[in-house]
This record gives sequence, C-alpha cells and structure tokens, in this order.
Amino acid sequence: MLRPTSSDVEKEPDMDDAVPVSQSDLLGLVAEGDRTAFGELYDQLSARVLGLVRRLLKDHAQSEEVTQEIFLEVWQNAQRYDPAKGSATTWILTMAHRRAVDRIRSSQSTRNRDARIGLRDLEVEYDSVSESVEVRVENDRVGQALQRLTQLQRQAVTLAYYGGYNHGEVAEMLKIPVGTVKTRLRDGMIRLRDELGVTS
Amino acid sequence: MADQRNSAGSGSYVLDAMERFEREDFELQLADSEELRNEVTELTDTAVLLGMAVNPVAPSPALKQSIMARLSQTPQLPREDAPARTLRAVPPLATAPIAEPHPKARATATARERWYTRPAVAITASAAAVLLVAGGILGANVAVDGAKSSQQADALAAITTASDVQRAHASVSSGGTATLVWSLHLGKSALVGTSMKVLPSDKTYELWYIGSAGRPIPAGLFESNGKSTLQVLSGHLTRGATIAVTVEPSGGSKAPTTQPIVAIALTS
Repeated sequence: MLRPTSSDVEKEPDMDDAVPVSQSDLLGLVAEGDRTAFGELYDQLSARVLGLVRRLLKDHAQSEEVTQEIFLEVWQNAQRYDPAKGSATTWILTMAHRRAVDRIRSSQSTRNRDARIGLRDLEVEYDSVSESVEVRVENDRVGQALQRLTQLQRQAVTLAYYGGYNHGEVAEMLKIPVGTVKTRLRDGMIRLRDELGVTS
Repeated sequence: MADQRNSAGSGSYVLDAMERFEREDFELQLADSEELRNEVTELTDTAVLLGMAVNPVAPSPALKQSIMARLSQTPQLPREDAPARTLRAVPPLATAPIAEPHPKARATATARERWYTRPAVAITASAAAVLLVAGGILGANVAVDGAKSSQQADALAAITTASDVQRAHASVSSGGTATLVWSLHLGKSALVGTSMKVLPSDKTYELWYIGSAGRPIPAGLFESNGKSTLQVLSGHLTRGATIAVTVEPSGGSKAPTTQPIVAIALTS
C-alpha cells in the first residue's frame, strides 16, 4: 500500500549551508525539508502575516490559528513556489490574505456585517501611528496612493482588501451595482499599481 | 485575449473579493490569456503592498512551537506542473486528503496518491477529486468512509459545483463544528462535521428538515469518527428551511426525541 513516507520530511537540516539572505532562498531550503530555514522564515514573516490576518479577523486567538494554517501550508507547498512568479513575501502574504478571507466566509453566519461599522472602521485606518519606521514608510506610501483614488475606488478597494468583503457585499454597502464594484476594484488597483510603481 | 468582460474581474480576483466559483471561472480565463495573467501578476503585487502597510503583530512564542511541532506530520507536496497561477492554487492544508482546487490542475495520481492514504481511510480517486472541491468550498478537508464515499461524493460534487452553492458554518453544542453546503436549485444539501463526538453504539446522529410549519422531516443518519464526517441529506431542501441534527437511538427516530445539537437556518 501507498503510505506517507517520513524519510524525506524528517531529514536533518544541513548545517553546512551558508546562511541564506533572501526569503526566497529560505523558501528554497524549506522546499528541501530544512526546518531551520523554515523557522528563520517564520521569524521574519510571522508578524507580518499575523498583522494582516488580525486586521481582517479582529480576533487574536483565531488569527493565530489561521497564521498556523498558513505557515503549515507554506511548509507543505514550498516545492511549488516558483521564484519566477514573485517574491516569497508576495507568495506568503497572498496566501495569508486568501486564508483569512476564507475563514471570514466560512464563519459568515456568525459575523455581523454592518455596513456602517465597516465603513467607519476603515476611515481611521491610516491615521493610526505605526510601530516601525519601515512599516510607517510603507503605510504612508500606500496611504498616500490610496488618497489619489476616487472615493468610490478607495472605499471599494479598502472594504475588499482590509474588510474581507466580497464584491457583492461591497456593492450592497456602497449601494452600487456589482458590475460597478468590479470596475472600481480594477480601476482602483490599476491606479494604485501606477502610483506605487509596481511593474512585473 | 483579455476581452473587457474577462479583465473586469482582475481587481476582485487579486483582492479575494470573488466567491470561489467565480474565482475558478476566472482562473480558467487566466489560463488562456497571457495579457490577463500579466495584469493579475502586477495587481497581485500591488495587493501585497496593501498588506505590507498593515502593522505587524508579533505572535505568541507558543505559536512557533506549535507550528514546528506539526511539521513532522505535515508532508511536503511534490513539485508539479504548475497551473497558470501557482500561488492561487494552493490546496488546503493537509491533515486529511489533499486535493487541488484548480479544475485544470493535473492531479496526477502517482505523485499524490500516497498522501490520499490515511490511517484506515483509503478514498477513491474520484472521491478525492470531489473532496478537493469540497475542501476548497468548505475551507476544510473532509474524509469519508470508503463504502459510501462514491455516491456521497457524486452528490456533494453536484452541490458544490452548482451555480447557486451556499454554505453556513455553526458550532455543535456537544462539541465540534458543522458546515452545511447547499444548492436550492438542486434542492440538495450536505453536512460536513468536524470533530463531532463519537457516539456510543446505541446512538446515532440524525438530520432533520425543519420548516416553518409542520413536523420535522428526517433527512438521514450519520456517525462521526471524531474527526470529520460528510453526509448528503436525503429528501428535498426548500427555501427557508432549517437543518438540524439530534442524537437519536441507533436506527434513528421518526421525530426528534432530543434537542438539536446544531441548527442551521438557510439564508436565502
């Protein structure tokens, strides 16, 4: 019978390897079953992942639970990571957002989705003082780029990304048709891309 | 080509604002259009910058220990031919069968089959494929007993691929959680239980349709192995119904004899 073999996941990390510098390098080692590299990657990115997940889920304990799922998924899928398609951070944060949103949707029946609270929540987001300089700079940069969107674009993008609402819910909250929300989300993201100078 | 209709979804897609069936639909379009893929790649990177602007929150030290301790039970998946957008197609985390949510993904049996095999549970390839869909839809992995799995899996596949599929999640008062997935169009529903208590041999879980009027209608019996369980409800689902589960004497009852341990009202 086929059964899970443990030899390939139990192997000792190779201590002779040079200390890798980039997260993508670390992920390459993780793909070979290197637990030390995995621990290092976790140390570097877990606060970012948890920060994002908690922004969406609010509840700290649940957010740690989802963060655990995300990092186990990183471990599990490390071999499938393709550096040509983006940085390790991109891969992991994209996965983190997806997982947080999945969690919100799977417990939707217990979540109170009040449109006004959702919007009120979002208004203060960029007034808050960030803890680290790096984050503050990124926060300012993104905050300023968001300010260059039209109000509808900004609201739609913010509700979707930071609120975890789907486009149907965003449409309801903003009292506009779903098709319009889709257009606003795309236009808004394209504008942000240009403002932030993202190129592939 | 990325026509207007296709590319309109790219913002929703990268912001995870699509429902799963829309996402899968969009991924099929992605596979066909390089132009659309490029746009999605750039907008994905842009969305990550939104994520980088959020204040980091340090996890408790226990979290790292907990994760590291689980690595030995978490098999690493082999490299494979990547679908158009690998990072979008990661399967749910595996403490149970692994499945690939992307419909175009080549779930090459040889490479993966060994992970389908769990202690005492061998699911068939078709069941596995469906469970992937279910896993995707439900955000959870589902293991099914071999014998009834095929039929259940077919029924579940029909529900989860219905255009009007919906789901709701609730805790079970005696322990564990239950997720109901349903399609009003098909009039079918399935209950996925996670960590529901193992009952003594003289008891069984029984499902019920509870309408606004009249007696509860039995919708089938099921057992729990303490991990996960899947049961497609017998009978026909109607709008506005509530699905409930009670614990009954083995063999089931014609009317509930105990209070429901979970009840899920269908939202419309």
